[in-house]
Amino acid sequence: MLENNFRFAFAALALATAVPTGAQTLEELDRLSDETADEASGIEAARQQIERGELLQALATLERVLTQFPKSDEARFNHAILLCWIDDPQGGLVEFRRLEEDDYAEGALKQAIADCRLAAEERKP
Amino acid sequence: MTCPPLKISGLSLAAMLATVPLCAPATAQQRVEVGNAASVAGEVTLDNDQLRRPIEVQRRQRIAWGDLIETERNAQLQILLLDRSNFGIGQNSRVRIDRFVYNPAESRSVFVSFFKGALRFFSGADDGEHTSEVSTPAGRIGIRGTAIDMLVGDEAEDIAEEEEFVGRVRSDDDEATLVVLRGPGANALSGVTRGLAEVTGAGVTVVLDEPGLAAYIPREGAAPIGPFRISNNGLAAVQDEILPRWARSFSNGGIPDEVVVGAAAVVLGIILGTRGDDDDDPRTEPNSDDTINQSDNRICRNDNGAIIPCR
Repeated sequence: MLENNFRFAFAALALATAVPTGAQTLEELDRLSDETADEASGIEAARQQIERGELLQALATLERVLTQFPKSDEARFNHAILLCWIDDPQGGLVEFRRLEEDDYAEGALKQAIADCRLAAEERKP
Repeated sequence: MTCPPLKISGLSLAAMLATVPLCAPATAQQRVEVGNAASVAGEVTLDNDQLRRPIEVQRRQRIAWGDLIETERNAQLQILLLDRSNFGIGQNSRVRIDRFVYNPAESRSVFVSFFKGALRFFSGADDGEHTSEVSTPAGRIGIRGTAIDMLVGDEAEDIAEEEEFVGRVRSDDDEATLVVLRGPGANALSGVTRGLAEVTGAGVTVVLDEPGLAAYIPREGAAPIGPFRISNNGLAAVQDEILPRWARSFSNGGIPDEVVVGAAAVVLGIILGTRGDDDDDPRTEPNSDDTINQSDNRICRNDNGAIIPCR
């Protein structure tokens, strides 16, 4: 699961050149809904949205996953990370602090909190 | 088609007239479907003028203008609109999509009536002209490219009055409206439009332009109080109303006090580290020299211009 978190981080590097795409049909919305009926495909859909720079849509995707799979460790973790990335470190850290260290690789949560703090500082104008 | 009643600001009305086909006479059966129920959990119902009784909402349910959505305790729903804007509706909520019009790459407008409960909005495609507005019993929230949380009702009152900035004010537990901007902020990753919300009550507007800033309208006819920075406890409580199943999935069923204290220390460090000297932030603390008196329509501000409870 941590590997995927790193994949999210690398995906963020592509944001500057990403081109957002939008749904325009109800059938396309159904497809988006279907993706999140499965935990793994929902998380993968969120990753792809991040690659396109659609951070808010990725958050919404993860929230659909968490609606169906509220104990999804990966969705919980990445939802908190995304909050940090949209410059809501308070929200991200409130969520991180709810997670259990044992559900992740040793030190992962502490590292994520530190990264959230560091990223915010690095992006400081 | 019957046009639902709307509370529209002058600016929003102008934008709508410029970009939106006006309601035209139509048959009673005509539905303007603008989205779907992208995820559903718990007891969620939909009602409208064409139904004899509310129906249970299933995933993929089409959502149209005028549909009234209600959720019960521990229920939640996410509505995806055609531009990928979405509304996350929390437990014990009642929401109606009054109008949504989307012309790809040109314009989109969404008007929602939020009667009670918990509501989260994420804006969608970042193209063209946007008009997003949520009406509540106490006021109106204008939204631009943002992630925003809103509560209406007794939970809004309970959470807001725990905030030191707000304190005890005369609130109506059917009308009280709490709004929290979640982002994106100025330090968000590139490619994301910075969020902003305008919270209006009694003709007074409070602007939220940084994640974590909040405003509270205690009742209809009262001006918004704020902006102020919501506490970690307050933010967690808001989150629990919007995503109740997520909140209850944790073994402790909520954030233990010792964790909140720990998070508060970390968050304080981050906020201080990224936003400069928050001790001087005028939106953090009210003027403690004043006394409580929110029974009239006076607008009271602290030295830095933030609207505070009249004391």
